[in-house]
Amino acid sequence: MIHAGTDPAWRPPGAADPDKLEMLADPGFRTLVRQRDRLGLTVVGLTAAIYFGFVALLAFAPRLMHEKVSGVITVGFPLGLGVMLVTFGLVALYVRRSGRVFDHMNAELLRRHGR
Amino acid sequence: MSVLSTPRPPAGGRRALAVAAAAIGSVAVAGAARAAGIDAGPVARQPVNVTAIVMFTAFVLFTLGLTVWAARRTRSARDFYAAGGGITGFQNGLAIAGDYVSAASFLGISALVYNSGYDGLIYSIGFLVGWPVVVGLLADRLRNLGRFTFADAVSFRLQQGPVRTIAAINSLVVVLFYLVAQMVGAGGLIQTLFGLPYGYAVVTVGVLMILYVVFGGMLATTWVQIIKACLMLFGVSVIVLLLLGRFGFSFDRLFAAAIAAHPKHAAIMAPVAQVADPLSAFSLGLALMFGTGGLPHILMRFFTVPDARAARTSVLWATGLVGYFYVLTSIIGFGAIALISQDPSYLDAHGKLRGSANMAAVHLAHAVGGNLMYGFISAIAFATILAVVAGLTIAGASAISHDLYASVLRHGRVNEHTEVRVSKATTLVIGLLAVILGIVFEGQNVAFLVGLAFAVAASANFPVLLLSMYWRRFTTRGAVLGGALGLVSSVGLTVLGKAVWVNILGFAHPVFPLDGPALFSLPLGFLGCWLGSVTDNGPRAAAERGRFDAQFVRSQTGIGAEGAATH
Repeated sequence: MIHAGTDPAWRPPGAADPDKLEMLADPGFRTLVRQRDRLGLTVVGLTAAIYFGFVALLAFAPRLMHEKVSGVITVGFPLGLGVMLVTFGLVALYVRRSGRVFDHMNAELLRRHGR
Repeated sequence: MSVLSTPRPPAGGRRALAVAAAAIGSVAVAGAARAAGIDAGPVARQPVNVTAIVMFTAFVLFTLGLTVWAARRTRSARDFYAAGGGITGFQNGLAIAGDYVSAASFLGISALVYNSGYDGLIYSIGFLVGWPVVVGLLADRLRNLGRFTFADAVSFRLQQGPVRTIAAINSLVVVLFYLVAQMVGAGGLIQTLFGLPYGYAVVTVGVLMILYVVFGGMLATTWVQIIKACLMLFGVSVIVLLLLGRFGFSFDRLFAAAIAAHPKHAAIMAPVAQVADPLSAFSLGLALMFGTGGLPHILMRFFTVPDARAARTSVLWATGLVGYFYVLTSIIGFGAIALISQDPSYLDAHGKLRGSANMAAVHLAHAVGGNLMYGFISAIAFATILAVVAGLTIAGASAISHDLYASVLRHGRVNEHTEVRVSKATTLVIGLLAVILGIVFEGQNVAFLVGLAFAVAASANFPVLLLSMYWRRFTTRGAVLGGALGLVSSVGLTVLGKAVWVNILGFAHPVFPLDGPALFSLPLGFLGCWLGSVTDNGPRAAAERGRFDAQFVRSQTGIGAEGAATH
């Protein structure tokens, strides 16, 4: 089996690792994977929708962008800043939820499987 | 030479330059001393900038001291590639910000805003939307599967030879494009800021980045990036505070002054380019959003932290810091319109900014903060170049030493000290290559290379990395075909596009109409991955799919992943 590096602790991935396959059948593991994947996809999907929505708005509704919101500042500024804030907020949401929920679910799984 | 029109007295410059050059390394000394008297560059060089040189020399001395410290702590391969895995999430967030924000984007975005207002601000937003992709889809799994490079994760259950070869080639292409763009930008910038001729500027950057990486490895690279990020965030914050102070801390008054000063007046407050060419805007947006998750020097940073949790924390810090930085940079661009675009002391005979539009942020620093701020920002711009090229170099060297040499050529049967020695030798070669290419491309408009690097990362690296971790049926043939198709299509369409076909090769009309290739090359990358995998049904492919479960469990739980540093 070919593997990388010379670290004795590193093992090439094997097809039949009983500990890992046992984990696959654990309902807790399935819940963790499903919830985490759903959150990850939501975060990426929302970012894509908001960002490309913003680009489309710039391209196809340029008149709207000339509207003033206060003094000389146009709609485009709060919109652009909004896209940046929402992007940061989505990253923060994923990181917080991972730290508060998923890491504990994961630790519980590792305990149950004797790690 | 425009000695008379400078805001800076050139007196004493020759000596200060010689001192700086001596500190930087003997390679540059002879040239720098000669250079102080001779005008060699085709671009109008500014006279010697004493404040900047003193500050930059302090930065160089400090970071070289840091490299000595890091060298003592760098023994194993893990120390060299991943700083021993002992960087905290917050530190790594700063380092990612330092790695990601190049001088090109700092000076480039403020210049774009200076020239066209709101259009420039849109670019800033694009540099932020890649991070949810990195944290939501990649960071956890990548950290749990890999050791030093993202190819570790891609080749986890696939055939090492072909998969690491294509991943290393694509990494090197991204790194070299990005590196050449930085080098050419650095040469021009340093020539303008410090009065150092182009060639010596490029050599100085090359020598310093080689010193950091060869002796201090990832640990020195990380701290150079952290220090640079802190300096840069501090510098832009001070400029913006001083700038807003001029307008009674009223954005309305700042923008009103910018509208009055700019020849396009109120048009700078709304988009123009997106309206003219929406497809190019979408194509660029795709490259930015999905390219960040395919940049080898960024992905590599996730192996410097102890676990997946710290990897996520570092993305959160990086997103916040990068976002803050770009908002401020855009404000600086509008401030430059308001304060310096009408001030003859910053303009040349044709009414253009002295140096180039890229100097908008630096001239504004002078306008609001005098010589001290001008020197400080110049030094920060140089430090920024060093931090980015060091990160790129170590990523390129790892692709060759860890992926190609240790894994493909020696099948993993290699002493780790030999592997690190190969990495250091490679660093030297990449450094030399970067210097040579930097000199060859002097004066060329290479701004498109950064966009191309993002497009290759999005089209060739991102699909392969994503599918290797998410799609059970993905196989070696899929990785090779997808990686190759993503690379060839993104480079090919760029060559056929306006930036190369018309601007460099001199044809009248571009064959490919869009400014960015990602709208086509990203789907082609995914198509290659899919086509290669579904036609791959031999026993090897079956074994690869059989190993997916074990990989999946490790990627989700971290069982068996690289732990924290032990020293």
